[in-house]
Amino acid sequence: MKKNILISVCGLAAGIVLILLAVFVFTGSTPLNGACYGIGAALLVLSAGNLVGASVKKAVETPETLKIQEIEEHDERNIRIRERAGWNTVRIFTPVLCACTLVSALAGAEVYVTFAACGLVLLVAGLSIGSQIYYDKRL
Amino acid sequence: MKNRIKELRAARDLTQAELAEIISVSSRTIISLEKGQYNPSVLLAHKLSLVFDCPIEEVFLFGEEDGI
Repeated sequence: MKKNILISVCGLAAGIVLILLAVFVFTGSTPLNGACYGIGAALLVLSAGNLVGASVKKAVETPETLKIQEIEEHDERNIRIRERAGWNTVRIFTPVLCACTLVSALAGAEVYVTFAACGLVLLVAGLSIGSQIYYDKRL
Repeated sequence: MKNRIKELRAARDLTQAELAEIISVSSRTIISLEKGQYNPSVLLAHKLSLVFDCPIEEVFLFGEEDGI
């Protein structure tokens, strides 16, 4: 919990710094300015949301709710559901992503869009293969 | 896999929530087990057999459909 709050505070600070950089340092309509605004805003909103969520959770937390939360988190059926849902998502998402990449290449989309899609395909494939090798050794 | 959890639980006058609390799982897991929709791990099967004070093979009914 403390670790999550620390990560959120760091994210919040990084978001503010990026937005300040966009406003005062990387001014003008440049890609760097846009990236600073975009990433900064995303970090700021996500971190603030996490902090607000954590404070609300702490306000309504009781030993009873903590126990229920603990049981739900470690319940073996819930764990199996999460694993299957994750696996199904990858199984469905991979061919969809491949098709999107192919369509973007054939439809003459900008090269960076096709490259980004290819990167995503490689990342998903790499993560999937890496996870399988890791759990094959571990289990 | 068929099982006698519902019958054994009723014999001990336990509710699904009470049984779930004893073996530290969610009530939904007990419901799924009783319906035969979910096959538990060895550990959970062992916990159930301890609660019902009988061997695992008396709680879970292994048949040909389970490859046994």
